Amino acid sequence: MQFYVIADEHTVTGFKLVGIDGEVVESADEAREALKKAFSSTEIGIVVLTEKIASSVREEVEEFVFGHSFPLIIEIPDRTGPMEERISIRQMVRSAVGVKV
Amino acid sequence: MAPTKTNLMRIRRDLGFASEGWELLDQKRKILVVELMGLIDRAVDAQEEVEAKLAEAFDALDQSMLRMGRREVNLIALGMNITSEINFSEKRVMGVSLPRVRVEFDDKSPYFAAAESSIWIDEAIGKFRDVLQLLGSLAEARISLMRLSREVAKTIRRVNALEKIFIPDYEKTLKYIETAIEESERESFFVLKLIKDRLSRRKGEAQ
Repeated sequence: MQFYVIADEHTVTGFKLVGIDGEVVESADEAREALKKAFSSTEIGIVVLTEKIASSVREEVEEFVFGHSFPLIIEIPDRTGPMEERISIRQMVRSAVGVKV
Repeated sequence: MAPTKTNLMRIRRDLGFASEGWELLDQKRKILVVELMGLIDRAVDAQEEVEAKLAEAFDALDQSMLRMGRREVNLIALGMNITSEINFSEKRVMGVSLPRVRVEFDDKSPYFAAAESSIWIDEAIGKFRDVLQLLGSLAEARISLMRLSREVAKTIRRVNALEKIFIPDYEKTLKYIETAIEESERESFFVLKLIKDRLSRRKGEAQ
């Protein structure tokens, strides 16, 4: 299976250098469309989103992550580095488990 | 519930079953939490690695765009013939399926086709390749973490329900039935004694 990148132009270009297909999106609506397409493909194993794009379509992402086993979704920072208000891995686990771990 | 011997036996059996279930679930919870703790560290490490490598990769990409021009970089990107393949397998921990991810490259180096491509683009390509490899482990750790933490939450809920609701409930009912049975046994014992007394008194009067 393949990687698929849904990101800004810069990130998509970078991944294209290593042969990864991707789609440049500039709005939440475009991101939604791109996600829908990626989710229905059987060739895509991991969808890579930038944090900014993922947070603009947070609902769709969460719904998919908990409802389906494939493709896997991961978020990466874009050129400007990690977002300040992002949820850390520890926070994510804490809220999912409901207690401090 | 009627305080009968049948019910007493049934409640005893249910209570035993619930306690056993509680013990098993508690063990499951402990195992899952240990697994979860290990995974958190792995996921945090993987994320840091990805981010460090990605920053380097973006730097290299910027450099090559600066030196070769954006158009040229885009052209090279279009002509790249590296292919990668993600291989999935799974690992099961306490009934939870966790993905294992392996990224394999079909490398056809040198990466560039154009003679005028610089060492900058070469470096960018190498860095993004590393990022991709790391993204595989990040995906594995992150998704496993989410599935595991949901299972832990579910298990904790069940352990708590057994511990705080079902088991005390059964114990209360058991106690109630036991007391009621004891009470009625005492009563019938007393009645028997009374009858015996009366019988022997009557016997004495007759003589």
